[in-house]
Amino acid sequence: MQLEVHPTRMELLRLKKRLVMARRGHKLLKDKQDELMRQFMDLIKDIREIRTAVEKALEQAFRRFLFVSSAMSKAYLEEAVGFPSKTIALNVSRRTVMNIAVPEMQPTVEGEIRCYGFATTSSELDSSLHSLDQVVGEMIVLAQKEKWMQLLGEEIVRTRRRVNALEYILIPNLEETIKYITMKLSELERSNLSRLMRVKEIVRAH
Amino acid sequence: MEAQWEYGDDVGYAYAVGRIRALETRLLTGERIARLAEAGSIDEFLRLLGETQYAEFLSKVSSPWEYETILGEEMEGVVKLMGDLSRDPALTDIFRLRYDFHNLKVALKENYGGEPMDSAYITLGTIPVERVRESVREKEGAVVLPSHLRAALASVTGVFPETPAPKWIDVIVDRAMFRTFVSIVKREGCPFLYGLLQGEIDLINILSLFRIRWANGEKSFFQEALLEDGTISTDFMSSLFGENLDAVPARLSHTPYVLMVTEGLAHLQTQESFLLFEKMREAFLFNYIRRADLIAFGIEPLIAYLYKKESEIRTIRTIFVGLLNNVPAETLKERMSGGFF
Repeated sequence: MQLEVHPTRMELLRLKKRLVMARRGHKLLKDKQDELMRQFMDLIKDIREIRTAVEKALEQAFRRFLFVSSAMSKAYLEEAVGFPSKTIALNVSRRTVMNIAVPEMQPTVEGEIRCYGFATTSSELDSSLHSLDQVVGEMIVLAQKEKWMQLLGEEIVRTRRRVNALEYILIPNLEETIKYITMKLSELERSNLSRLMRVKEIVRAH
Repeated sequence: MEAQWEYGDDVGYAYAVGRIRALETRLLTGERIARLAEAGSIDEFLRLLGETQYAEFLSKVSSPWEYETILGEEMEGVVKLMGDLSRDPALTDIFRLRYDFHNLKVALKENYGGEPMDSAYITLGTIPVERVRESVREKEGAVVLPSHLRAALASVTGVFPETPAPKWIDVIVDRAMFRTFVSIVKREGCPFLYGLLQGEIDLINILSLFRIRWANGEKSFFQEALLEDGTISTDFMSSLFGENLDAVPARLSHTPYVLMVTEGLAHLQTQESFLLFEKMREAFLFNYIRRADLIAFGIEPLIAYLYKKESEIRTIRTIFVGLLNNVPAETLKERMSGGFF
């Protein structure tokens, strides 16, 4: 679609400059998009591996916990784990990757996972909580990477929208407008020339 | 042991034992349990359970997820029956005292943790839950508790502020609980129950050793967690802590627990699971209480019945949980009580 501009030489110069800038911007954004996509694919590969491991570990932990809940009554189980001694505090900082502020999570762990005695608890509870305890670190890494992936995905969408806007709208519009102005200016020039020729003919006839 | 301790000589228990023998025929057998585990669906399981003594409680719940209500009602009935049949309430009350100590632990954790734990209380104890709760909440009011609970409460309140880890509440109260049980049994003179308690204490101590070692725990904690009055001395148990785990079965070869330790340890090392330990522990205690089958008069058959019933309830709970979570029948059977399979 042609831009609504006055078909003047000044405008033509301005539009040509804009076109050069748009093409340069398009190339840069295209490169950025390619790099983001590469990082996104690497991240997906990482996340898939971690997620598979986490899901397997969680399945095992929950399965064990399921059997603990069958070996101990609800009241005994609640008494055993109702006052936990382990705390995990997450310190979230931010760093910039490809101009995206991504979170970095640093867990601070205090206390131990076993918060109960031995006389009235099933020893299966130990292995169940141990499995859960082992997977917590990986869950934090997974959460961090999935957040990166989400932010990277959003940035890819944003970049792709910009690339597409430049590639399919702005650059074609500028080209079309430049072509229109060039033609219009040529037309004016031809018109002037023919007018001048006509005037010269009239002058010569007198 | 005192000389006056005699097995099964109290003819006053003739009626009680007769009644228990009749009730024992209604206990679920291994075959029946296997059928329940193979039910395939929760509906079929409930139908089969409806053919047992649990039928009367099934109508009281609207969903199978309320299985704790069914099992709780059944346990309440058994505890009440024991109270009615027993001529030695001090001995049968031991099983209710467990709930008092449990409630004390809950109240202490509620108090120190600051989170309400209403559903963790059990109302089958000898003291109303609210009284235990109140005594813990208002320390001056602790005098309303019996001396054994008061002593446990004082120990916890003395230790907890310096070492504020919830595991100490359990360790201190559990130790006080078993000390109380043993002193009651010694006072009342019941070798059968004394033997059962000693077995329980030994097994808890042995399992504590493996549980703490497996979790890379400290020796000092193990020493504190050891229960006294077992057949294996706490000093001997303490000396096992520094041993290589593979050498522990040989060190326990003079005890009746050697098979459990050997096989349980092998399972723990290969499967990272205490399942076999738990099953063999239960099988060991089950084997012990079978002695009561040969006793015609006395409190022993009552204690044995209570123990069998607790085990049966645990097994039913396992099947409920398993079927509600689509666990295959084979896995369920593997997990079930050592007394049945």
